[in-house]
Amino acid sequence: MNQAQPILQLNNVSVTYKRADRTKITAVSGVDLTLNRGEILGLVGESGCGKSTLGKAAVGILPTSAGEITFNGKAVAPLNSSVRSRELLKLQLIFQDPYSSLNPRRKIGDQLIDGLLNSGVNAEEARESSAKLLERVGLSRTTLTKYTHQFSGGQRQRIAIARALTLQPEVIIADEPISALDASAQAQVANLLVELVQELGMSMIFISHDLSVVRQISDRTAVMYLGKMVEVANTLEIWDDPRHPYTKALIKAIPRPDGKGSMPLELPGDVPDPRLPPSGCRFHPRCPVAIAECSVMEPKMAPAADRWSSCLLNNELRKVGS
Amino acid sequence: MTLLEVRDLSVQLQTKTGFATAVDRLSFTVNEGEILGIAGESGSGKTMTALTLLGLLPQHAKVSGSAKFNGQELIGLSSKEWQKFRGAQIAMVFQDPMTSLHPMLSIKAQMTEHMVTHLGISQQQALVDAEELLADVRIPDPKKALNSYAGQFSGGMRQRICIAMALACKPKLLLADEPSTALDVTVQAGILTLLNRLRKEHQLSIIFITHDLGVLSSITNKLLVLYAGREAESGSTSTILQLPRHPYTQGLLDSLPQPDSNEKLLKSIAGFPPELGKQPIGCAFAERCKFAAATCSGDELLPTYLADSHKFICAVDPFAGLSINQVRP
Repeated sequence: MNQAQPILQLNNVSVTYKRADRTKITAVSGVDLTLNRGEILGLVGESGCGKSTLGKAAVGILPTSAGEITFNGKAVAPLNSSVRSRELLKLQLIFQDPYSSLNPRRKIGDQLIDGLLNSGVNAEEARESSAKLLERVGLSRTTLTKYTHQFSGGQRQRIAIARALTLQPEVIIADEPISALDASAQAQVANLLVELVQELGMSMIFISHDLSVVRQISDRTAVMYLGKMVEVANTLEIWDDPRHPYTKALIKAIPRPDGKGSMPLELPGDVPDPRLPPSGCRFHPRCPVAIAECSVMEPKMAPAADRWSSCLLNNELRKVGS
Repeated sequence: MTLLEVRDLSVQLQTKTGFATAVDRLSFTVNEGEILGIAGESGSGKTMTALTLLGLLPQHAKVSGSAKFNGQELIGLSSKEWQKFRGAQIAMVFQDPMTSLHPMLSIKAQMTEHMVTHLGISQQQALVDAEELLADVRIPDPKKALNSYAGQFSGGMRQRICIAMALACKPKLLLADEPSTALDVTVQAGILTLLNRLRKEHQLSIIFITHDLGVLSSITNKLLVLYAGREAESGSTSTILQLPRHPYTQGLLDSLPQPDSNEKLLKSIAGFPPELGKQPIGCAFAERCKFAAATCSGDELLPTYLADSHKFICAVDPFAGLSINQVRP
């Protein structure tokens, strides 16, 4: 690949939710992340780590509490009652559950052309281009006049993908797009996304808790834990040589279909309550190699040799440790 | 010792257009202390098979064939007779621990109710036993947990509670329907370890249902691969995952991310499974199969039996005589 050109940049982004009892939860805390043009970036972590929140903030449907997000050099402003700027239409989100992300009461054609009509395309052209997109995602154009209940999960996710593509996005953020699907549909939909990204010259953030799918399809992988980024690297490097203890634990927990009966390794404990994140390194209560300093010092996302990870043992305490 | 012996089990469900076959002449056995894995996609009949073994099928479903549990026929039991088995000797853990626990009842209330009914013990004794059970599935502070509510636990902890609840009446057979699918991999690994330990310590037999071959590889001894309600292949887990003979099993394995591949695309199986009630005569997988030939459709196919109870149903048998490196390079 040529020189990496950033298309979507997150600088020191935090997202805070206010609960009904007025306590605050910082779901994403000071995250830096860059998506380059033409790249597939995998974003992994356990549920509750803030990866979906980050995805939503990145397209501007959730307000950030700190930091800035820029898309093609322009700020991504949170979506509010005023008009979303035209450039931001090139930034689209695909949701996890195609059973709830599509409207069961409207014909698929009507749902697909909404965005096009809003951007001034006439109805006939909008239907024609929607039909073409449906064909591209492997469905027939008669889909336009049907309802979602007539389709299986995999087919619905194809429809959701077609809908995201109607406005010819440059960046797609796919939030667990295959985890609600069946075994054979998972591979089909993952492949479809990869092919579309390559064919249409898009970039994609692929959010998933399944590291093995991310390993196969993404160029770079970012690992999140409790609202913080803990490791970002080229996918193959992260797989062959994970640096952060959390990344290591994630990889070891994947069950492998080798027929040899090897047991995946458990990472004991649960993700802590994000209202009360542990002091120091947020992973230290579950970390198998934590030392006393880990509960006091907060690690920075810093380079260890050529790679970025946030672990005191890799970075700040490296000399002490070795 | 054989605990469960299922012979030619068929289940037909009522649809708008008449009866549709959801489970088509399945036969399998589960021995004591053994974990049988049932692999298949949605619509393959795996959940319907489990529901049959619990007597929980919809009222209008037609069931034929036989399922003998400890020598006792289960098919055709009255709902009163079912109570002796369901929950007591055969228990179930469901996929989604977020919805299978009652949100408004304390864990205590949910755990002890069936213990008092099935075991005839006092509420006090049930509480003592429940505390032990929770400790057994590694719930920290079981006493406090008993007085808590489902919402106070994470998904993994809830699934542990569901497992403790299923084990309360010391069942011989546990049906686990996608028990780890809704969980994170790190938590899933813990649940698998737990089930494997319970199997060893309590001589528990488990039917583990999932579409995840990785999970099945780590925990099961035997596998039954279903497609569109029918058996595609069965045998020991290691044989099937290393030397599959049915193109569907092979396709499923290939469609998983390969840990040493440098390809960006996954090898997916084209097409979709047939709809309920529209399975063709012959091989239901034929229309998606790259090895399909004229012999695949039209007639009933006969199974091929190999050594080590390995069985598959494929008229073409494209992987005959291949070694492990040729089948799974």
